[in-house]
Amino acid sequence: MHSEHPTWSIEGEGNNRWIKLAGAWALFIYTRDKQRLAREFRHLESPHSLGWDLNGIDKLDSAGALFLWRLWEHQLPRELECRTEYRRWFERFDALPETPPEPNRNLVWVFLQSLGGGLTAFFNTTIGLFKLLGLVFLDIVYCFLNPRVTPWREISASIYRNGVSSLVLVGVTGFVIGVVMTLQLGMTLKQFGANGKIIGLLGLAILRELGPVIAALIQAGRAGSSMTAGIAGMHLTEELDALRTFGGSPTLRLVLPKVVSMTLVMPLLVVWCDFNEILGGMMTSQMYLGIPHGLFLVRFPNSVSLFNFWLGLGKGAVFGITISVVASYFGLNARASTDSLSAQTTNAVVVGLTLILIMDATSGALLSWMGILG
Amino acid sequence: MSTQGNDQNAPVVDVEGLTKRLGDTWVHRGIDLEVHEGEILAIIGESGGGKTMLLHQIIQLVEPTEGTVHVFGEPVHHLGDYEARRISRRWGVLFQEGALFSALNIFDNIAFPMRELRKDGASIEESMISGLVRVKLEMVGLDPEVAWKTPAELSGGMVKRAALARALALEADLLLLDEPTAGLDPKSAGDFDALIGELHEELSLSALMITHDLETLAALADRIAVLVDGRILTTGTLEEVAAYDHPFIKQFFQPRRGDKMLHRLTGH
Repeated sequence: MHSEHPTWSIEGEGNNRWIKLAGAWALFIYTRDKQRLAREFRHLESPHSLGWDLNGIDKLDSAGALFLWRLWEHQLPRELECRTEYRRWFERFDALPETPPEPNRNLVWVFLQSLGGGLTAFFNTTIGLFKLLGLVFLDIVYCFLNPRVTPWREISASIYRNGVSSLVLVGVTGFVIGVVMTLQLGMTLKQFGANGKIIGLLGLAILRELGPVIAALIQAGRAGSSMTAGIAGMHLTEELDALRTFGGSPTLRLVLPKVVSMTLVMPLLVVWCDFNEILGGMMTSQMYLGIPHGLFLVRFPNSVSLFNFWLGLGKGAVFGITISVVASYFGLNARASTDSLSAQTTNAVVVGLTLILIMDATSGALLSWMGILG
Repeated sequence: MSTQGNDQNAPVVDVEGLTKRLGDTWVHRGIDLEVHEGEILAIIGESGGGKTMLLHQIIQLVEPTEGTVHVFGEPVHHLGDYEARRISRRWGVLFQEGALFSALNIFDNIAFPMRELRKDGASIEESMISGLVRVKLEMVGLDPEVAWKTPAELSGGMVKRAALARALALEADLLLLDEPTAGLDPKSAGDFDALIGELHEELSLSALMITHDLETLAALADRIAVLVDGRILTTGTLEEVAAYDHPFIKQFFQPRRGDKMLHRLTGH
C-alpha cells in the first residue's frame, strides 16, 4: 500500500522544465503535509511555465487534487502528465458551477422578521394554550358522559411518573429550604431577641408561598420537561400520526391524563413540601434559636391561619394544570426533528416557570387588594 | 497509508471467530468474514439476525464478546484514541436512515468530517472545504443549492445521497452500507445502485453492504455472505450462494414479488 509522504522535484532546463510529483498526495491522510507543501510552492513563480508530471503519484485524493488545482489558478497546466482517474478530479473542479449564494441575510430584515415572528409566536402560544385547556376540559366532560373511554391506565401511569417519583427530590429540596430560611431569618430575629417569631414567619411563608412555589418549580423542571420531550419524541417515531389514524385523540390519550394527574398530584406534593420545609425549620429552630420541638408544634397552629394552607393547596392544583398544559402544548407543536425537540423542551420549561411565578405574584397582589390577606 | 502489518493481499476487513452476547441471547456465534480489496461484499440474513450489529462491531461502535476484527490489518478494538480516530477516517458509513445531523445543513454535514480533521492538527481552510463539499455534492448527483437545505427538507433519496457524500467526504477506502436502498422507490433505488457502482469503480473502494434488495445484490455484489442463526452459512458469488441448499436461501431467492406481478400481468 501507499506509505510515501507527498514530495516534488524540478527536472530539466530552460523551457523544458518539469515538476515531478511523487508519493501519496492524499492530503486527507497526510493532513500535516499541506502546510509544508504550501510553503515550498510559494517560491514557484508561474506554475503554468512548467510541465507537470503526476505519474509518480500513487494516490491522489480530492483534497490533494484541489490543492494542485488552486496552485494552478483554476486551469489545467499546458503540459500535464497524469493518469486518467486523477485527471477526472481536475475535470470535476473545472466543471463546478459557481458557488451558489447562501440565502441572503439582511440584518435589518432578519431583525424585523424575528421580532414579528416572536410577536406572532407569543399570540399563537397564548391562544394555543387556552385552546388546549378548552379541549382538555371538553374531554373531561366527554369522559364523564362516557366513563368507559376514560384513560385510567394513562392517568395512573402519569401519577406515578410525575408524582410519586418526584417525592424524594421535592422532600429533600423542601427540607433544605426550611433549614436555610430559618438560619437566615433567625440571624435577624436573634438581634432583636424575637426568636419566637420564627414560628409565625415560617408558617406564613411556607404555607402560602414556599410550599406551592417550590413544589411547582421542581415539577415544571422535572415533570414538565419529560412530558414535553415524551410527546415531542412521538413526532419522530410517527406515533402521533399513528394515534390519529386510529381515530384516537391526542388530547384525550396524552394530554388529559397528564392534566388530571398533575391536578391531583400537585396539591399532595405541596403538602409533602410544606411538611419537609416545616420539619427543616423546626429542627433548625431548636438547634439555632433554642425553640424546643414541643413549643414549636404547639405554637404553630395558633401563629398561622388554616386558610393559608388551603390557599397553598389551591395554588398547587392551578400550577399543576399550568405545567401540564404548557408542557403538552409545546410537545404537540414540535416538529419531527431532534432540533425541534430540544427547543420545545426548553420553551416548555421556560414558559412553565415564568407562568408559575407570574401567577403567584398576581394572586398575591389580588388577594391582598381584596383584603383577604392582611 | 498505514505502514504496519499491511501487505498487498491482506483482506481489508478480517473478522475472526467473532461472538456477541446480548443479555441471554447469542447474536453471533463465531463469525468469520473477509472483505478483499476492491470487492463489494454483501451480507444477507433475516431481519433482526444481527447484520447491523455485525457492522457496528466492525466500525468500533460495539465491542465483540469474543473474537477479533481487523480492518486494514489493524485490530480496531485494541487501538489508542488517536489511532482509533485515524483508522475510522479510512472508512465511510452510510447508516440506514442516513443519520444526517438534523441541526446542520447539508453543507455543514458534508464538511463535518473535514473540519474534524483539525482536531489532529490539520489546516484545511474554509475556502478549500467549500470547494471539496461542492465536488462531493456533484459526485453524488445533488444540485449545489441543496447545500443550504436542512436534512428535514430533503426527500428520502436525496437524504441517502447526501449521507453518501458525507460518508465519502474523506475519500474512504472502505465503504460500509447499511441497507442502502431501503425505503426508496424502485427507480431511486436503481439510480442509487448505479451511483454506488460508479463511485466504487472510480474511487477503487472496497465495500461491505447489508441488503435485502435482490436488484442491489445482482447489480453490485461481487460476493455474498449469508448470516443465519448467528453464523455465516456460506460465502460466494450470487450463483454459488443461490445454489446452496438451505431453507433461508431458498426463501430468499424464491421467485416472488416481481415474478408474482409479472404472473398477474401476463395472466399465466
